[in-house]
Amino acid sequence: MKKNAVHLSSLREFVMLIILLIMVGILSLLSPAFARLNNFINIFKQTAINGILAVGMGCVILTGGFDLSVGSIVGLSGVVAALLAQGNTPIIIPILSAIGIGGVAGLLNGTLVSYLGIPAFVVTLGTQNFIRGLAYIISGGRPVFGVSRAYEQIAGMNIFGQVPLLVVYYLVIVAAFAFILQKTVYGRHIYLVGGNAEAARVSGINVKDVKLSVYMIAGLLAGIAGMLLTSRTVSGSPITGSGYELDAIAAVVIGGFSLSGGVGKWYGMLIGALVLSVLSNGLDILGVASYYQYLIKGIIMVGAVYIDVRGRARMQ
Amino acid sequence: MADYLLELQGITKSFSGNRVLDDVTLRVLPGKVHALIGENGAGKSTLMKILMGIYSANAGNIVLDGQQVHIGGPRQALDLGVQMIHQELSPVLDMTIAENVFAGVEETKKCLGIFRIVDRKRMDKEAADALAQVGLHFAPAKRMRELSIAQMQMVEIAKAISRKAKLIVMDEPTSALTEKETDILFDKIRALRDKGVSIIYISHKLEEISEISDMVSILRDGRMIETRPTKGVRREYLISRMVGRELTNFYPKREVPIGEVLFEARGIGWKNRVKDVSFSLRRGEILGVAGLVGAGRSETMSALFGVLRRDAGDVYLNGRKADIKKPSQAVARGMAYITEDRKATGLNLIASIKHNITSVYLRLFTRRRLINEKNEQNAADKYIQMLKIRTESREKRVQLLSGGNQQKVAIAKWLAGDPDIVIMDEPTRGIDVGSKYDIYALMGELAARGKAIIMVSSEMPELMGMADRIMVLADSRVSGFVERKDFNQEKILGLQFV
Repeated sequence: MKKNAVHLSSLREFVMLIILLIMVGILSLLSPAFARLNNFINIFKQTAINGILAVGMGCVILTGGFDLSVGSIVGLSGVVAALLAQGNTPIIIPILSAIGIGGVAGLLNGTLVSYLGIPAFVVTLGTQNFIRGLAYIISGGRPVFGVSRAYEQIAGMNIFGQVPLLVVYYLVIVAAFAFILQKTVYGRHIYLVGGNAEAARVSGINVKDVKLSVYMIAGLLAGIAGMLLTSRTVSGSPITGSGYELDAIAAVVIGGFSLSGGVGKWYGMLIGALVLSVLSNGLDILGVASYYQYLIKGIIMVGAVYIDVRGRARMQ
Repeated sequence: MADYLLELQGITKSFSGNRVLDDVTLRVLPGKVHALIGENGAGKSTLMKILMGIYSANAGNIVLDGQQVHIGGPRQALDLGVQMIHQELSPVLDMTIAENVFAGVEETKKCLGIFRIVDRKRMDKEAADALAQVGLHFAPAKRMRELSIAQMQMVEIAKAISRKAKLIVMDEPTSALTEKETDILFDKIRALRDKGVSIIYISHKLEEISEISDMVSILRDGRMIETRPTKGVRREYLISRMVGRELTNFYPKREVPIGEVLFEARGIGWKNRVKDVSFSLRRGEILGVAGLVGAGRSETMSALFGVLRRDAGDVYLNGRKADIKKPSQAVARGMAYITEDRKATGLNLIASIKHNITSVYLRLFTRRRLINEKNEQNAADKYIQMLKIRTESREKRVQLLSGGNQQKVAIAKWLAGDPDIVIMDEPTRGIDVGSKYDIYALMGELAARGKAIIMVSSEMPELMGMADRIMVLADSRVSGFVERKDFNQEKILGLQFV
């Protein structure tokens, strides 16, 4: 019975981990190119940007909200970072600007949702457009090139021979949030607010601040993602990041998060993001056209939730 | 055999290896009110869910009118003339009465020869007829939202009538009703019975059972203990059969020394619902708060705790004015608030017992500001044991517990911080006799340790059994205080109707 209770709460993560391993197994059999260490590192590299966004999205979804503006934040912070990372400007300036933009955008989202009580869907759809507009205006609608060599190194460099720094950033962020969500009082409060906001309030928790803070987190991480993406692609484009918010949502949902809040584990965010990138990496290697990849992604996401729903029904 | 309208024969049901119903047989005669009683967790709800086809039994038969039937879901139950009125009504508030009555079985007519469209006129007329039968004369086009809970319940009964139900299951139908509304409900139940409709009546209120029912069946721990005519049965007997032990002193009131004034409210006001409420509270004292539904009892408590932002009055702790404008300030000053509705405002239902118990004072379970798993486990185990919470594991989701055990978790989460002032709003609502007893015992224990307790309750015996003093609210104001030595049901009731 005790075992049941534990399994029940992490059933979807468990199922998705199995599916992930099966996918890796099949792809390895089908293509020797897939199973190379190099390619695994590559998969993590491809996961990093969406994975970082998924961490922020996961925090927001844990409180029962969600954030449609993170893709636009990636675009705006990326463009600004590219504009500031020219010539000999110290790289700290574009880095802090990009992160700052993310923080301000998150603060705006959080304030509108939490203190003014506007539904998260409406707020973040609004800021998605607004922030995208700013990215176009600032860049004049054109991609920004000419990023300095030093800036390029932020995400482009490898350490220990072949480990990309991008992967290190990603794993550090995942580890930090694993720690926050599991070990800190604040992390537990995020779950409680998502589980029952009214009970949280009666218990003396400042529900509004908790809600505001998760949008801040999502914004800051989106700012970081934009900054890293600019470094990786050596340019900042105003259209970058559009649709990323939905990939981030897909990752956390596949990873076992409940859209009504209060349910989800840190490793679910990791597994969900990996499932998506293993899929596109593997299918690329197999030469499956990206059009078909969309179909498969859709099926996986709905299927994952279905397995979970069925599993829970059977266990009760 | 066909004398019975319904026979549930040898019903057995297990959930993940846990047997919740064991060979239960229940026989209901036509045209009778058949009460079903038992502690929470005894299996009443499960049995009714099997009857309604929500769960399927592992073993046993359902025989209706002498015919063995298979009920695959509520819709099928409905077609067979079996209807359930749930404890928590779930009408669609923004639809009309007629639309609610016909939800799922809408009357239709042909349009243009091909389409079937909803026949609103006929639905309105039939709904009005059904309403008239329960003595309601509302326009069927009225929105559900405009009705009181009692009226919604009447609409549910009208719905059952309109669907020609032979058997109606009522689960705690009076839990949100006033006495007057209860009387009206009972009249309707008798009228239905006289028409030959049978009613399975589930309630924790034993006075009601003896008033309304013809037969009574007692479930305990998933077994049918006894079925007998209600006439002449003593309340103490029913209780002893339900819990399997004699309760010699149902209210374990302890005489404890009453100390100095700990808490004082002066001139509390909130909108039109709380007006000029003042009282004081001493160490070791249990202050009962009585009043009719709508008198402003819960609103007063919420205003004291800062859940509602009061617009008049002050709170004093130890004689000094305390700045309590939001719940966090109340918590920080040693106050606890066990709210009226454990599901809406008390518990995180999707989280474990452990996480709920440590949720209010999580900082107490940290070491160097990080949550300490061991401390949390110890605290959870301690309160599970202390409050006799029935569970196999501290990791079990609160959602899966019975009402009484959920309530104990809702209380336990506040005890962890050892608060001085404990507000309990309807602490025993909808829970079984055994759990009630445990909670009363706990209140006595807290009082003995010098805590001050405010107990809001709609149950007069409970207030008179446990309180040292009762404050009566009527129409948003304090209408009087009664000391324990002067406790008298008529007097307290009289103050409620000012």
